[in-house]
Amino acid sequence: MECKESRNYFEFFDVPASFNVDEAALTLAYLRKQQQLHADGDVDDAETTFLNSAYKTLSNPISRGEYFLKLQGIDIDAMPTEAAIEMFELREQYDALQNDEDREHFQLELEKKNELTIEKLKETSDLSEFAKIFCVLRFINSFLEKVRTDVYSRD
Amino acid sequence: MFTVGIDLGTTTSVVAYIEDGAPKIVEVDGGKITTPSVVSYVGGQPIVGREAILNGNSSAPLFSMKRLMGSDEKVAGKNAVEVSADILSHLKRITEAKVGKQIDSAIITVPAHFSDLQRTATKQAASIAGIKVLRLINEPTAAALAFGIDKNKNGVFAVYDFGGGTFDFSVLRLVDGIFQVLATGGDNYLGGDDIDNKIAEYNFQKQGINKKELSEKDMIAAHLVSKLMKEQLGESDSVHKKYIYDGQEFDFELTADLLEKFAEELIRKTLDISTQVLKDAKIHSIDGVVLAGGMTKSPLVKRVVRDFFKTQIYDDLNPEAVVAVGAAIQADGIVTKNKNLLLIDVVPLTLGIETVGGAVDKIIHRNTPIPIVEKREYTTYQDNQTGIKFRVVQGERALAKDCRSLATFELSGIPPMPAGMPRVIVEFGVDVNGLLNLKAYEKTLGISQTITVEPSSGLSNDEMISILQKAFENAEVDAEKSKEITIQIECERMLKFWDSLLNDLPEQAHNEAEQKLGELSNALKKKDFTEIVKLKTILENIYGQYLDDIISARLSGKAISDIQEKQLCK
Ligand SMILES: Nc1ncnc2c1ncn2[C@@H]1O[C@H](COP(=O)(O)OP(=O)(O)OP(=O)(O)O)[C@@H](O)[C@H]1O
Ligand SMILES: [Mg+2]
Repeated sequence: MECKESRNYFEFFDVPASFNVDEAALTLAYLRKQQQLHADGDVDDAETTFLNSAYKTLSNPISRGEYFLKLQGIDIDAMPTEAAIEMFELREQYDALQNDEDREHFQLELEKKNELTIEKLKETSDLSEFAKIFCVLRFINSFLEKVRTDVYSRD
Repeated sequence: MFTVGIDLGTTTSVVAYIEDGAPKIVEVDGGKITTPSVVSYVGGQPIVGREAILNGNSSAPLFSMKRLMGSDEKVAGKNAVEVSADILSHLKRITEAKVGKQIDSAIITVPAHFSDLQRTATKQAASIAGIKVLRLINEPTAAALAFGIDKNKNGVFAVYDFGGGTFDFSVLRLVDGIFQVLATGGDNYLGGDDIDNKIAEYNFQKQGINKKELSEKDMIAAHLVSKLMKEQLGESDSVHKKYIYDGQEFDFELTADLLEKFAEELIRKTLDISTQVLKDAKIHSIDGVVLAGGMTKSPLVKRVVRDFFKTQIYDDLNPEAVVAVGAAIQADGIVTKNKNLLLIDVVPLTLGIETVGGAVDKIIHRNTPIPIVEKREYTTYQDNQTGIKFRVVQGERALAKDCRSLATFELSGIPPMPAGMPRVIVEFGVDVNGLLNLKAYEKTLGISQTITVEPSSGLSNDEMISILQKAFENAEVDAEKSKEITIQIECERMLKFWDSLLNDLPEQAHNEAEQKLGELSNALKKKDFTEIVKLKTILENIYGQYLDDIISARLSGKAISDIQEKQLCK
């Protein structure tokens, strides 16, 4: 069990160990593995569970980034000061919004920012720079989660 | 090995199986594919389906009990689990009689959006009915399976499943026999039933009928009349039906404009959910939308869906049968170990733990592929704290109080330590049925605990055991009673029932039935079982094809011969 869990996800799917993962290739590898397990007969639940965890970890940018940094032995850094200020201001802006329409609009903008940050990370090869930007992404993401939940819970 | 797929629907249920590689639907009531999910009790004995609606000797029949799955609510002293078990037993019995084989196992479908409690309740119902559940699968996934196998297509497709009680929307990727669910969403309390309510409500008001004065049976009749008008409206401008109450006749109506008005809000909700799911699926476009559920037969719904999705709409598979067929395909695939068919489904609702502040710590996010296991570490926040309490919730809302509470448990026996020292691991597992398993343990000392999620509502384990015991005893009694006695009792009941419907039959069928009923009565007296069985089949066929018309005619106080004449004139 321990040994299974310590397998490297990137190697497991045979994709380069990078944040900039080819999502189509990853999905294809995942489906192949699923099919393989299925074809091997009695599907071992633990093995399928491992496969699903690995896929889920790598297909989501946040968990993929965290996993990637962990593999590199890098602790996630504190957010750079300017970024921290910008994020703080974003939150204040959001809290001041009065109606659903504005919140929805804000959500769209934040989704865009999220995508842009992901793209930026994909192009960042310097690890310490990567760790800093990733920290911003994580913040945007959890903020986005809150905004999404607010919009979702409207009724 | 005989295995079947069962679509246990809110309003109708369907059973299918695979024979010689092709899906077959179990025919009931002389050629119908659906059994109304309606139960009435005569002297404590359940009667299911069309007979339950028509049987005048029973208490008011129970409708749409699936809506109460996973709750404590009882109707006429019955829990949804018990009523569902009675429906399942009935389906099992007629299937076995029709096919001539004992059912060894079954896949039962559930709305994708069903919570853990509702899934557990469904499994309980099956075990009371003596059905071995191979797996629970999600209704839209089953529909996609039936579609994918039938059309042999690859691509990304959505399933829009609008039934009597629930709405589900799922997006799937189909690649060479792999069915991967990318995202799913829905509403368990959004279905055709809600529209029927509005139609009835409108007509009560228009006719000045005081709802509070209606008996339960009057109320049911009003809903059935409303439901029938909705189903019969089709492309026409309006439908009228007589509604008889307190000896008085009322003119109930439904126009196309009214239906649009009543359905508008519900349809908008289905489209909002669809939009959200398409976003969750993170795909750029879809290759088509598969329609499932009886509500998609409505031209209004079809039109709106077509306009909204602007893509190919697949509506050629019978939307009432498609879910059961998909379940049968998957059941057959599992039993025959078909390597070319693989289904990857997801967690429909986020699972989490309530944190100290009342927020939710999300542990397994919705749309995570199953089976899956996730762990989280918790610790104490006071010195020498010896236990930690957890509340497990399911839902998308930010606050635990807005989510559905699944279970509470406590990991106790932690030795006194400073706050923050103990390392308590909580492990969430969701299996292929979408059912949750919980484990908790203290890492440094190895105190562990496996928690069975006992539904915090619905049937408790004790209740379940007592019902199972009763069912088991009954089965023994049944086995002792010879098969012949069972048939005798059933036919005596049917004789009375059929006799009561004799005058509702059109002339030719009436004459034929009358003669056969006489013969059946004789055969019962003589205990001539070959003859009894033969006559029972003949009568089932005579009556079966008219039952729906009789229900419709009775509700609007017409003789069936009138209806049939009209149909001929059309
Ligand atoms: N021709 C029709 N026009 C409009 N509505 C229809 C038609 N036929 C059936 N319906 C409606 O479809 C609903 C039943 O659909 P279906 O049998 O798929 O639901 P179900 O499987 O029982 O429910 P669920 O899947 O929600 O548990 C009912 O509300 C019924 O009135
Ligand atoms: Mg259904």
